[in-house]
Amino acid sequence: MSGIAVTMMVWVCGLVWGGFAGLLIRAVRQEGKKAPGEH
Amino acid sequence: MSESARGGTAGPELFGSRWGLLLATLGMAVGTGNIWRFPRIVATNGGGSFLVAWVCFLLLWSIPLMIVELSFGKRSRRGTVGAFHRLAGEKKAWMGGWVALCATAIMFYYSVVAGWCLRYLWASLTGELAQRTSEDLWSSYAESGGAVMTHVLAMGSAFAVVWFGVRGIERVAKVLIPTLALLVVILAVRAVTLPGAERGLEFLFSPDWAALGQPKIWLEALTQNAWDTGAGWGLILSYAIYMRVREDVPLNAFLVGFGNNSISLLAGIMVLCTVFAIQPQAHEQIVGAGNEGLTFVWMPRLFTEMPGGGVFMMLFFLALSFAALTSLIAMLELATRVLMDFGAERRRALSWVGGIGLVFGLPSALSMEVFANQDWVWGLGLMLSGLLFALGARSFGLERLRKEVVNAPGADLTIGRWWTFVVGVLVPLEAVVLLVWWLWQATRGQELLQWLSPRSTFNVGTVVVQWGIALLALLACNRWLREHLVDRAPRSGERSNPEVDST
Repeated sequence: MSGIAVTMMVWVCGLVWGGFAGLLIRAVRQEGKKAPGEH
Repeated sequence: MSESARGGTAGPELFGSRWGLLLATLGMAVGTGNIWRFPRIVATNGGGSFLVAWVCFLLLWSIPLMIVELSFGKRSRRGTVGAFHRLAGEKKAWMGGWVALCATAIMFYYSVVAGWCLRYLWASLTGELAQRTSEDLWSSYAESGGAVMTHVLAMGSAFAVVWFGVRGIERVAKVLIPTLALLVVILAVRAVTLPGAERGLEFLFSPDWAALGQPKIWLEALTQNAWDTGAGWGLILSYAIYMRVREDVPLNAFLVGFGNNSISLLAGIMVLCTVFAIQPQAHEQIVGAGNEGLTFVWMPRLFTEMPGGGVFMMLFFLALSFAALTSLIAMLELATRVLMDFGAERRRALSWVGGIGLVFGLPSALSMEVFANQDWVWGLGLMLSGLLFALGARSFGLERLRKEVVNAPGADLTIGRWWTFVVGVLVPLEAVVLLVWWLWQATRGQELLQWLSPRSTFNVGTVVVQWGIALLALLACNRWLREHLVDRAPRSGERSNPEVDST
């Protein structure tokens, strides 16, 4: 694979999958902070 | 039958947890479009450069509209017609009617697609695809009584889930969506470990920077986001009705948008690595074969040439079936909820929707031409639905919606004024440009009378006639819609919802 293709792969996959993973971790933390009756 | 499932007095139907809402919404968003359309579109539009535009429109179309839909559902606690009536203004009920009609028209033929997936799952399970060619199976099955039977099976399966209300949807999503994600990961890992798969990755991720100067790349990226995330369809709104009172809106919208596109990216890697590993010389023919050609003719052929391909073919059609069914469930729920807002009890409303869906899906099951026409007309209608959501939010007041609902207590992210600009200005502009572009594409190379003829499968005339009838009927019925919506105020024993009561 060419260097530019590898760079693009890392950039796009990092943004999309990394973004999703980061948001998921944030959601898990926020849920943990909320008291059971808070909803 | 539980009281809540009947819309009775035991309490309002709500998702049991944030994860239930998220998985159900992801199930709605992840459909066949992620698996059979995305790899084709990315392969024919410049690979890596298309991905840049695709990520941009995730942030400039899909997620902003998802925030609008979640806010409308949470605030109004009504289906699309009731939500537009209550939030955009009494005279705007027809807008919600359009959104519902468009999604329901798609449901009619989408059930046929889900049936195709189930048929191929069965063929891969029984080894039928090892004994006969996929072309042979497709030519004898499509447009036959078999396609009608699988349409009935798909509609019946979705019907059985929605019968049990939001808890039924939540339970099924909690099993199917994690399984679907696991299947797609397994298939992608298998594909990238095939000898020669790196050529697929090279093809997928190599950018053609000059292509970013072509409007077509950007319009295709916007179209892909509009079609595969489900933003602006009214389906997210229909699930948001069942959000808990202090549930977050913005973080959930981002999670669904990024989660959906994560699955698309995995599907792109899976399909293109498989194509380039098995038949690299035929890649242009394969990605140019259309959705059905790629999925039901080429993919089975590629799997049969792969070591252990029978197992992976079964996993592929299982993933496709799960993706199709969870989206079909959301479409049934949308139409059911709209009827419930006119006073129908859930199961009675669902019976009507399921029965009508079965009948109106028959033409698409029996004729690929009707199927293609309906996909063209109502797929394009989704652009108008997205535009109507943006206009509806403007009527309510974008800043008011942002402050009172999006950033309300319970929000896990704070959305800034950028969202007001995107929904108020960019989304309407994108929708208009897309509509004009698609209709212009349909007129190319045709005489005036040709592109105005309503009998053609893909042209402007068929869109104008079918949309025109629908819009005129909705505008004529607007007053009736307003007057017959039932104000579902909390009944005795139900918890009052201050967000609803304050509207």
